[in-house]
Amino acid sequence: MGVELKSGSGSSEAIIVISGRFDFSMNSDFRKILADSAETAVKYTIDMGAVEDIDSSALGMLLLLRDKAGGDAANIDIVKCNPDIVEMLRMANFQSMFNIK
Amino acid sequence: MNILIAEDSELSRNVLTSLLVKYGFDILIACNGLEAVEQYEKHNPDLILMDLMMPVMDGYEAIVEIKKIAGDKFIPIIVLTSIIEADSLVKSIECGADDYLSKPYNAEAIQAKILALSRIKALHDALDEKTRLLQEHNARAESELVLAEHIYDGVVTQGDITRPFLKSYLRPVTNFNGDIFLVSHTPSGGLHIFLGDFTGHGLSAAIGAIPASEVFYRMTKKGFSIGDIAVEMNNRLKRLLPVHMFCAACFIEVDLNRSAMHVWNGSMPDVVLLDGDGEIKHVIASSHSALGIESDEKFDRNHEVFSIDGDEKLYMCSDGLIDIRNNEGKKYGKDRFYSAFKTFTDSESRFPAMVEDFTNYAVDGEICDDISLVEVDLNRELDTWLVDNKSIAENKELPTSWQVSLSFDADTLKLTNPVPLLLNLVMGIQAAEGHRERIYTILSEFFSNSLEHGLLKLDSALKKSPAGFQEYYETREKRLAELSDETITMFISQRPENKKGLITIEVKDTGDGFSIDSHAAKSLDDNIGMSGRGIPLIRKMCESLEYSDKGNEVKAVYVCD
Repeated sequence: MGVELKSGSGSSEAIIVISGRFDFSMNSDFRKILADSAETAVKYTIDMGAVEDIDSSALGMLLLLRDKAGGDAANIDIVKCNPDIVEMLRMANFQSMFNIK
Repeated sequence: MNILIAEDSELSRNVLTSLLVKYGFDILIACNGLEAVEQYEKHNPDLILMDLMMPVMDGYEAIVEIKKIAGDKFIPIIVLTSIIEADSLVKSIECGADDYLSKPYNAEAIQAKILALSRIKALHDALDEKTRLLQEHNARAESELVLAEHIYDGVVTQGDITRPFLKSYLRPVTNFNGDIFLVSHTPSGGLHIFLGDFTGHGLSAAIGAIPASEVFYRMTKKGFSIGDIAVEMNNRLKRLLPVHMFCAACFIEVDLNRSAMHVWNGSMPDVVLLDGDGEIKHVIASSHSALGIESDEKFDRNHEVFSIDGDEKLYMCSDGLIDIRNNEGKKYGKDRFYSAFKTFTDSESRFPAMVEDFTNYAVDGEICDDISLVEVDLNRELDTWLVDNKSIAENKELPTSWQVSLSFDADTLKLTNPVPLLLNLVMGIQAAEGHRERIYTILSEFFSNSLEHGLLKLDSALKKSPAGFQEYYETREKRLAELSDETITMFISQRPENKKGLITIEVKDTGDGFSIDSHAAKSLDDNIGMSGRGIPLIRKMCESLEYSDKGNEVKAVYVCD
């Protein structure tokens, strides 16, 4: 359960692995990871393989990441989502802002 | 630190006083219990040394009295006894004393006890102060909450949500609802419906509800269309909300005659339209980002249009409903939501039955977000707004007379789509606000028919299959590139009639003409889907629609009522 930064510090690609319920309880950890990786990362991969469920505050965190990673120029992959999560991301039109794989 | 000595023996008083002065304490004196109470009230000492046997009022009574006056405040009292008498000691502690000293006095023991008790007093005082601050904060928060609720209610709930054709269930997790349901009539008697869901719940979610609903009511009243309102609301929320907050939203516009329904769904669950027999007629899934995310340039105001008969019912919900969990942690889910339409076939009791179904499901379960479910009965007879508001409807700005005509040659047609430009021109001269989407629908349908069928001679039957769709657009591109010596002319005029604006739209091309029947879908529903809006829908929206014999000229009259 939680959110973890898997790439080494100073790496240009940040891999963020999330597990359990991706909701407001992860807010402060997620923000900390953003602050830790913001300086060096140019590409982000969000690994959602172990996420059971997401809510709207999770979508908010993803938007925050996108904003910090350069807004429209951001390069963010969201990978290994289960079908329910893909549907939720699609409902929010996130396929136009993130690479959902 | 102030110490009160209450002692009737002068000798004892002097011994204690000289001892305590030496340790740096300030001393107050009382010769009996009554004086002790008076001194306490007057000088508020930090600690009291109290003899028990005194004239006028004894120590026991004085202790009770002082502790009573002190209330929640802690005033340490040390009783002075000549010998250790178990009975008097117990009695004095019962009266409220905190410790005792026995005579003869031992200087170190006195100092130690005073220090120990003053430490307890300091802790007690600090706790008192914190409690006081907390109470003050709570009281302030409480009164701010009351004020916020007042403002929230005043702004958000000023609309028409109590109308008989609406049924709604809105259940916030906290005082404030992050879901908002707004309904208002347009000046021409049409209906605007909005269901929104802000990120999270509670006060922080509700804060955006105030500007959003303000925009909705103000612009609806002025006659703007849902597209205009969506653009403005998106702008406002984008500026106002932090990046991680947004508002999933669904706008519905229905005209006075209940003939067409416009839907803009941005990140809300599917909107379901049931026909008069209770069968699912349309499911309108989200096709946009939520409000407050996209910049103005990237925001997509386009919405879908559906032809309706006026006997339909419309259902909208927030994802809080889909996400209700039962006691096993299993979600209510989309499937169960849909199955409700099959299970509850009686049109009248369907809504309460749906509410009962998910509230039962939630018993012992978990509700973590605001829940909304809305039913709109599109039966025009149930909407008495126009009868109630005849004067408002008549009090509009009167339409004027004007006309414009524009021609586009082949080279211009290759470069640009003139429809948006034309639309802005028409709206800029004087066309009723609120009709923007409809006029756009007519202009773009006529224009693309002229271009694609009249000049490029494309067969719209191709568009019936996804593969054909692709081919259709490839051919379109190829033929457009080869186009020369052709022109499309558009003529638009308005004249007033019975206080309404009659807009005539004529489109003419230099092609050989085409048979509209071979291109128009046989029924409305055929046409919506693969090839978007169609002529049958336009025919329904307009007062009249005619193609010339050859098929290269079309003329429609549209009434802005």
